[in-house]
This record gives sequence, structure tokens and C-alpha cells, in this order.
Amino acid sequence: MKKIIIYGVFLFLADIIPLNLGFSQRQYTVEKLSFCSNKQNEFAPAFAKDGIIYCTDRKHSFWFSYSDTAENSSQPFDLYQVKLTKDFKDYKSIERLNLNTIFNEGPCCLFNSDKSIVFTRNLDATKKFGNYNKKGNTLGIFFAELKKDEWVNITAFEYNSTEYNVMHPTITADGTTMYFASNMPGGIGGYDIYVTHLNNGSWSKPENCGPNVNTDKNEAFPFIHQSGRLFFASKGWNTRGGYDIFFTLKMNGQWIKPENMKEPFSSTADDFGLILDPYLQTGFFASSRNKNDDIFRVQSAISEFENCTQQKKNNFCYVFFENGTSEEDVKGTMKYEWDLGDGTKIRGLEAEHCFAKPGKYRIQLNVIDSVTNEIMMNQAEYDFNVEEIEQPYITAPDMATIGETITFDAKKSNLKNFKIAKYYWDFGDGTKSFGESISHVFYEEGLYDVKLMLESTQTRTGIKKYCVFKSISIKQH
Amino acid sequence: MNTLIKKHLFILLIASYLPIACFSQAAPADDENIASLITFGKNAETSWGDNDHVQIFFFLIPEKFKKPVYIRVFDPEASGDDDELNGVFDTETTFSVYGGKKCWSEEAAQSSNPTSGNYKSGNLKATKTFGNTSKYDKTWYTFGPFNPTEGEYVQKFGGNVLKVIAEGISGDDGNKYKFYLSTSPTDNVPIEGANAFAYDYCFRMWDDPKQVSHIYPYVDDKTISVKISNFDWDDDGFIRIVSVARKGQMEAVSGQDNWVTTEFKIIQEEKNTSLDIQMIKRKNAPVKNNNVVINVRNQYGELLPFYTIPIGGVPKYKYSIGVKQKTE
Repeated sequence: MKKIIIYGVFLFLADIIPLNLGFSQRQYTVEKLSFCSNKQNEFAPAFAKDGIIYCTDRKHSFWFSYSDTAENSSQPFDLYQVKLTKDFKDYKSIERLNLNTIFNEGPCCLFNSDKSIVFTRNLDATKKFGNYNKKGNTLGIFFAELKKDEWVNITAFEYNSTEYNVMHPTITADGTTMYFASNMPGGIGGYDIYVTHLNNGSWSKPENCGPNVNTDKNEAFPFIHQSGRLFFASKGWNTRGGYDIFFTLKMNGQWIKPENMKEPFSSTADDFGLILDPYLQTGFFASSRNKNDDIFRVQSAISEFENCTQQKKNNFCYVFFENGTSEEDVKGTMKYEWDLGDGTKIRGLEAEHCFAKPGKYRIQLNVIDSVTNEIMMNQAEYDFNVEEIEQPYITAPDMATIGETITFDAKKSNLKNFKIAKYYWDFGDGTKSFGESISHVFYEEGLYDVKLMLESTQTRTGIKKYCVFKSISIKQH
Repeated sequence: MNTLIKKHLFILLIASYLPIACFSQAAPADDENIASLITFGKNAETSWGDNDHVQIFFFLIPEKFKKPVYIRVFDPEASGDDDELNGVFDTETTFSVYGGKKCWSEEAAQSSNPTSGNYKSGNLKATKTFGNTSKYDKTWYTFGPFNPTEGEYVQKFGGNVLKVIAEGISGDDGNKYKFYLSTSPTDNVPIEGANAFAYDYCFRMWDDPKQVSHIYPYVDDKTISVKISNFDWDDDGFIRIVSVARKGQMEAVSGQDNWVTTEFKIIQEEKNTSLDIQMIKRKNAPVKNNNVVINVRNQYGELLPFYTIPIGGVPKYKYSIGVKQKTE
């Protein structure tokens, strides 16, 4: 399968901390994009204006055939840009990028506000026409700049090699850190993920991302997310068959053991090339689950966490007073004795009291005439209902440490006339999840606003939502 | 709102309370818990507790009541151990019953200083002077019968008013007595819907420090503020105001042979209700045989009537409990 070369191949690892990011795959739905054909392959989506740039082997010329290995078909891969409708159901246009050659142009990534691109291409891409069957035309990484709608100033990555493939670049928005896949010597096995940094205009020597990313099998199609998560495809981790999509992130500067994205991202077929927006709400990935490779759109089923207010601490402390108390009464002759219904009696114009728990308490006011010494019992009474605050409620510690598994529980939520249908969580570190009670691990120090949104069942006035957040401080051990 | 409508409202208001409230025309009445009224002979020093030696009481008989009525006086003589002796009993007290026009409406009749005007206004219906004999000591003397229409008809009260003046015409002793408006010449039989009132009260405080006396001035809807004046209290305890909106406001009390006046604003809820002016004896070393005078004026200087049976019932502050969350 020729695409493997373009796709990359993968490796092996060592395990450390199991990844538990609370990244619930149930929150996503996937849908095949309508422009994908049943005959050609479409894969390696990259975010672009109004759509994506992707890689396809759709035929665009009858005048050239290229073969590098026996696996390769005669049709090379090119980069195309598709502009999608707002609802992603359809597309407006498909356009072949003008940087394509008659050789392979493959997985890419835009950066520098989409004015720069880094992409995969055969190193020898000079031939314009005819057949090409020379072996050893390896894949490398190239940069280009967009000038007047033309990709120009194409330059090669300095660590490209005719001895091995360097491909599948993903680059941070500022263009200073790049991850890619390569089968360069010294790796863990097969294709590995490497990282390089731009310093003073030069890229640093690529570093293998190590055994918590790479296995002795192939890892490829990395995608570095704005949150620091590294998504990639692997055949070496616990896959369900073929390539599955995994992700990891750094804790204390070290990648932690990756987690399989599971369904609906991963399947028994090849699943790879996942990209997600900064909010992890929408994205794209490729899969061969329909035999040939198609691009699927992923959409978070969790709606936006809107109108979230800070969770109020349940406070069963109250001040009781006589409604008509005036300044005159402060120096007056009537003194009060408050019977607070839980065995507590307090004397004073006002009674401050904290109840131990919610419940119904009968508050009684006895009045003591300090002039006549007469005690007038039960001059007023009030059946007082101590309730928890009406709000979604997050039960969780205020502080925890990096790597600690924290349970977040919404069972104490108290909303009247509100039948809870769904529990949504946003952990403030880019991950979201479902469920009444859920575990989560933070991998970086900081103060996180964890949000809980409750969604009601359908009512006459529609679905109601309530959202609160609770701040959790995550510290080092 | 014109005057006519106001009068109708007042009548309606009183009428709505009278059937349930007014069944006893004793003066002082039970709710007042006043030991007795007192009038001193005209030669007594005011320091004895009577500033003018005259006490005026009005008895209101509802318009619908047509039968004869009697005004009875308990112990009208200044003699015996139930009156206040100053040297020897040499005091004469005249009790006079007035009716007809002006008996109530004459300004001096409603004054705290009646002797400066024609307080004996109206038609004299009966009078009797009591000396120091013991014929009526601790017993009742009865004036009447009177036809209720012999009183002055007062539309805003919805009835006829008879006036009784007790005046110490000689001597310097204190004459303690009580009144009763009755349908019987021999017994105290109340009249449904009747009432008794005064504008200036001279009475004997209890010697027992546990006793609390009350007067109930009626606050109409034009009253914005009131001034409470008291005389010769001898610093004997406290005066406290209770109302439907006031749970116990302390007022200044006078010393020996002087007046003290305090003023406070009327709360909206207090309009068209009675105030409860509580007179509470001092617990430590209470003054014995303490005679005092008290009156209450509105912002116009008009005296407010004290009804022996408070209009609207005895005012009581209704306590209610409020609650607020305690903030951290």
C-alpha cells in the first residue's frame, strides 16, 4: 500500500503513567465528508481557511506515472483544498494547490496565520513529464510561503535525507516547534515521531519523542494541538486493528503513556490524521473504515458551556431577626430569645446560627420584657426550610496534585423542577466529558475552572441548561 | 377626601369595633388597670399629683340605645382609708353631670387646663357635692336616670355624650373614686356599644410594683406625631408606648410636681388605631400613693381621647421573624 509511505510507519515504547485525561470519546459524533469519493483516497486533513487541505490520489494527469516501490500505485498524491459549507454537509469548491508536482505531495500543516505551509514531498521532484521509477526518492519536509495566492519560496527542511523518509509535519502556530514522522536510524522501530525546534533561524537536531510516544511499530501523522496534546496514529499501542488514533501530553516535561481515542475515532480499520480545533469541538480525521481512505468530520456533542456561574458553597448559616426591629429597639426593653428548632437557644436582637444539615426547623421567638421581667412565649414562629442552594453542584476537592486521579461528582446538584438528562463536564484543560460522576487527572500545575453543565429533558419551553464552575488548584507533588 | 366622608369613615371604624369591644363602661376599665381616679381639694398643692383639681369624663351612649342610663360613682367622698388624707379630711368634691349642646364640643371641656375656659359647658343635668361623711364610703352613688338623648349628639361618635365633672371645691385631701355607666340605678350593668373617655387623666398609681397601668389614646388618620405629657410622676418607673407597629418605646417620666413632654412620630400603621401607653412602676423603692396626670396631644396641640375601652382593642405588636443568609 503506497500510502503507507506517505502516511508513515510506526514504533514502540515504554510505559509510565497511564493517561487519564477525562477525554470522553462519547462526546463526539463523526460524519464522512461529502466530497470524499469511493474510489480515491482522501486523508491527512489540515485546517485551512473555510475548509481543509487534504491529500488525495485522485488522478489529475494522464502524462505521468511514478513508482518508487512495488507498493506504490502509479498515481502520486497531491494536496487539494476544499472549501466546505458552514454546516460541513457539502462543499463549495475543490482546488488543487499550486505547489503540487508530478511527484508526491502529502500531509501538511499551515502556520503563520496560514501564510506559511510545511508539507511532505519527494525530495527529487524536478521532473515535469514522463515516467519515473527511480528508487530512493525519499520523502522530505518542505516549507513554502503564500504570496499573491501562490506558494513560493519553497525550501527544504535541513534534516531531509535520501536515506530515509522525513514526513507528516505538524507545527505550532508560531512556527517554532515541529513534530514529524521519520524512519531515520536510531529510532525505536519503524516510523517514529520526532520533534525539532527553530532557534535563530535553524532547526534543531530532531529528537525522538521517546518510548512514551513511539513503539517498535509505526507512529505517524502527528498533530500538535494548541493545548499541548500530541495526537498521532500508531500501530504499536493497543490498537483495535490497523492504525488507531492516540494522544498524549507532557507532565513535568515528559510525555505520558498515550491513550487510544477509541470509538468513534478508532476502528478496526486504519484511523489516522486527526486534527482538532483549539476548543476540541470540531475536527477531522481519515479512516479506511469504508475500504478506501475518507475524511470524516468529528463534532463534539457537548454544547457550549454558557452562562456558567461560580458554584456557591452551601451555607446553612443564617441570621434571624424580628422584622420590625428599629433603632429604638436596640436600646429598648424587649429582649429576644430565639429557639432555633435544633436545640439551640440564643438571646439577642438577632440570632446568628449555622445548622448542621438541611432540614425543616421551627424557629420560635420568645420576648422578654426587661422592665416587667415578663416572658412572652412564642410571640412569633416560622417554619424554616434549610436547603442546599439550588444549583448544579460539583463535589470535588479544592486542591489536588499533578497526576492524581480526582473524582468529580454531580450527585449533590439541587435544581427544582428540573429533570436532569445529561451531565457535561469541562475540566478547563481542554478536555470535556459526560456523566454524573467521572474521574479526571490534571497534568499541569495551575488553577482550573471545572465546569458542570446540566441539561434537562425536553420541556414545553425546550431544554434547559444550568452551568456552574468550581476552581481546582493543581500543584506539584 | 372631604370632611363628610372622613366622618363617615370614623363612624364606621368605631362602629365596627364597638360591638365586640364595648361591654363595660367602668372608668377606669379593666384593660386600663388603673387603681382609681383621683381629684384633690382645691387647696391641695399640685405636688400631690393633681394639677387643676378637676377631672372631666365623657360617656358615650350609642345612638341606637334608647333606654335610661345612670352614671354611678364609687366612693365619691373624701373620707375613709381608701382616700388620701392630708391632715384631716376636710375636702368637698362636686360631681356634676352635663348634657346638651356643647357639653362635649366646648373647647375647654376637652382641654388639659379646663378651668381656663367654660368647661362646665352644656346643660347641667345633676350635681351633688360630697363631703367627709362616710355615707358613700366604698359604695356607689348613682346619678340619673338620664335619657340618652339628653347628652350631646356627636355624629362622628355615632351617639350621645354625657359629661361628668369631678371638682375638688374645698379642702386639700385626695378623693379616689371610679365611674360606671349603667342601665341600672343599683347595679353596674353595661351598655352594649357604650364607651367612656377623657382627655386628661388624673389617677392614682398602684403601690404594687408588679402592676402595669395603661391608657389607650386613639390616633386618627390626621395624626402625624404625638406629644405625651405627664405630671408629678416622681420618677416612679417608666412610661412605654406599645402599638400595632411599636413594640416598646420608652418615654421620659416627670419628677416631683413638674411636667415632662416627649414627642414621637406616628407610623403609618398606627393611624386609626389606639396606642397603649404603659405605666410601669419602679421595682426598687416604688413610690407609694403616687398620683399622676397624663395627656397626649397631636401635632396641632389637640388632646387625643383616652378610651377606657380601646378602639380596635388593646393594641398589640405582632412579632414576625425575618431571616437572611449569613455571608462569610
